[in-house]
Amino acid sequence: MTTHSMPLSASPQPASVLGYMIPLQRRVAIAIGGVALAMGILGLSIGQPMWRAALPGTFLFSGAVIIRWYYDRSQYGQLIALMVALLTFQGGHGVEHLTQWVQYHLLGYTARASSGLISAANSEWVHFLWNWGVLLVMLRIYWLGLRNPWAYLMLFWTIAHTSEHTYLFVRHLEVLQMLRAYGEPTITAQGLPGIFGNDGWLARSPATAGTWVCTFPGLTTATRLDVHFWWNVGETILLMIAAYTHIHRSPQRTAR
Amino acid sequence: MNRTQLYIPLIALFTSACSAATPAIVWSGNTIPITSHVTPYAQSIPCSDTFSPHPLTHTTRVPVPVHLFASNGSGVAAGDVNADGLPDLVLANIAGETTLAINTGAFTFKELPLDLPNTRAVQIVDVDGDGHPDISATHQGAGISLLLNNNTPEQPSFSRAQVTFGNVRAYSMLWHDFNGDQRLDVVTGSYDAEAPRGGSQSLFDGQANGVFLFTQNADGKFTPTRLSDHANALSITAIDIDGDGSDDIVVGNDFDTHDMVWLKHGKDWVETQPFESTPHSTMSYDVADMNRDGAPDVLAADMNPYDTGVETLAKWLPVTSRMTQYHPADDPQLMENAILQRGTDNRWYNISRTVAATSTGWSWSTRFGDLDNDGFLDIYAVNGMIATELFPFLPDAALVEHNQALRFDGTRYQPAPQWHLDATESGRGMVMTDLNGDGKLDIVVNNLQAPSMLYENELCAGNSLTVTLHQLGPNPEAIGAQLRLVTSTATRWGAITTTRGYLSGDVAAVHFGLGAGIPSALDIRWPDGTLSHLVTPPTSGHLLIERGAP
Repeated sequence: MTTHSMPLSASPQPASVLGYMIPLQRRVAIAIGGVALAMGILGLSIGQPMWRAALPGTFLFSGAVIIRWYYDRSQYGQLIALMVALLTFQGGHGVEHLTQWVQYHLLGYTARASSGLISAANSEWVHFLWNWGVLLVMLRIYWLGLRNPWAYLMLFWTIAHTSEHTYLFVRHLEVLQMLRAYGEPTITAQGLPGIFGNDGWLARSPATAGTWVCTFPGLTTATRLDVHFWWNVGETILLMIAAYTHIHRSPQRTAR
Repeated sequence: MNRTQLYIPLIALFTSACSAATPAIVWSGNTIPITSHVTPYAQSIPCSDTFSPHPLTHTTRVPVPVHLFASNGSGVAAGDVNADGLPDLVLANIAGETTLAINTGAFTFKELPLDLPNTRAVQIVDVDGDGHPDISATHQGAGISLLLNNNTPEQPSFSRAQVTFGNVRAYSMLWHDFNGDQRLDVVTGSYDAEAPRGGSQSLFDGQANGVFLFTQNADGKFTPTRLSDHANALSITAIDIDGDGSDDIVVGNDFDTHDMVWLKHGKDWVETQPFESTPHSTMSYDVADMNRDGAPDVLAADMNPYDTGVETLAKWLPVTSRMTQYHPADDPQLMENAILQRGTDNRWYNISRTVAATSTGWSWSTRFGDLDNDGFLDIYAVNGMIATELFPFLPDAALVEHNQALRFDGTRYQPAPQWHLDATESGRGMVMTDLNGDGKLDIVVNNLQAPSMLYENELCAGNSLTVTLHQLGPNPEAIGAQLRLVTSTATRWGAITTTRGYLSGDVAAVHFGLGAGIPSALDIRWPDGTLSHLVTPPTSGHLLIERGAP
């Protein structure tokens, strides 16, 4: 496979991914965004729930990222292509969390009702699979050569995040099993406390009871929604810095 | 970014977790003389370092299957109705008879029925100021009633008072002297959530709901002031919120109805919100000096599971998942207990997480009390819930929980299973009072659909001092007075009140567990604002302070 060096102007940040496209691609991207937005508005206007209205846009967005991934892969190699794709998907995922944050903090929804644009996807199954997917891609990127202090920090962060989702998923299944035993088939065990945040394991463990840990702002005081908002913000920022650092230090760049 | 730049925000985050200190309120006013009398405590039986349960005959009944909001049960009150020096009990009831339990000593009681149907809150309080405590009660879906003590000590009897409180729905109540005129006033709060289900619909015309202050006039009649046109008031307390020397009104509301606070400004009441956070469903209020700084702290209880195990979460989840109330961005409500302390800026800050007291289950009456007389206020919370609408999947629709006893060591609260106060009956009302005069706080719980329980305190406890006040005039027990006990280890604050916890009333006395502290002075602030000072109070016993002429 022939690879080209990555120009500095094409640093893989979500906002500039489409911006690097040739004018035709840019026009296609704008058209896709416009169609997605129009379909979303149309869906809402005819009374569709938010998640259904957002679904066409999500598919279009995913399709664009996949096309872009093929392009990057052929132009810059698998490492860059994976980084760009991951950043783009994480950016989209971040929009979901931002929406939840807005719904809870600004619009006054309850924590349970603040389930983002695609509420149907706000389930422990999806979170669990998503985060394991992100971790596996991270490990693949690391394997392909993304190695700098930010990348190590990002990897640690992602492992920690995925661990919490694994803990949540196991508890989700256990509680679900108990609910079914109680004859409550309609209740979901979504939104249980995890390791961090208010009512999380760290805040409610006898080992930390009454210590400063239980009042550490955010760590043991935030709602689950905030905890996962910041998990994802951290993950995305660290990935951006790690990728940026990698591109600046890459031999191809130095050679140019 | 260098390392210093990195560390500074982290240090700032860490230190921001520390709570603000409570500013001391300086008492000023005219000083009046007092006389004091000390009665030694009764000899207690050899201690066993635990509590010994004594079931009572009384059982609070509600129609079965148990529906909301009959499930909220009833309160219990303690007070000496026959002047024999031993606190008696009134155990309220919904579908059964309210019981007057005359304390005959040695934890035996003579239980008599009272003409108080469908009773919620109850208090033993001398409303007419004749020196003989009366019984006041609120009723499910109705108003407030008053039984006046006929002063027949051999066979206590009561007559229904002719005073009226108008067409007002009262669920919770608070008797207090708010204007310093030495006559007791009463604050009532309705429980609007109950309106569609029980009681007389004619009362629910909108004018009967809310929070009312009834000010007692010289002729014994009451003048109402409507403070709010709505409420879900499970608990009401009086406390000087803004440190201006006047007690203010705090109403704890169920559901997403925010707790309400009115500050007394002269003759006016000004609504405010001084709390950093409050429980979401405030079940119970109690006021005492938890951090031993000579100022009051507030304990507000909520529903929050005391463990986050899989089984517990599975029981709670169907209920919490249906709680779909609107959540405004500036909502101060957290679904957990709050312990509020006044900060230097006159706002009240929640330290319940710092001291590990956020979660005591589906809490009802939750109280401060120094159960082991070590000088630190412990917490006891009775809990549990029965309701077919909430727990149809559990046997008897009952969320069975262990009552929570939390021992305070000066730094944090820790479960005290060794006290054997972890009963699983569905507790509602509760009082902590010394029933046998041995200087240790016993506990009485009014359970729902199960016999009431008395827990005799057999802890190997330290010394204590129990202070009661007496003054001439229509408020002989000096309800609304405040005390400051200076000891060799701390300055302790206490208030004379008969309203504590959920729907419950206690003896008008302040119990100070002393631990290693040796009392050196006692300051009294009478309800009218005058002050008294006692040098070298006793180190143990029942201290009666009588107010002299001004």
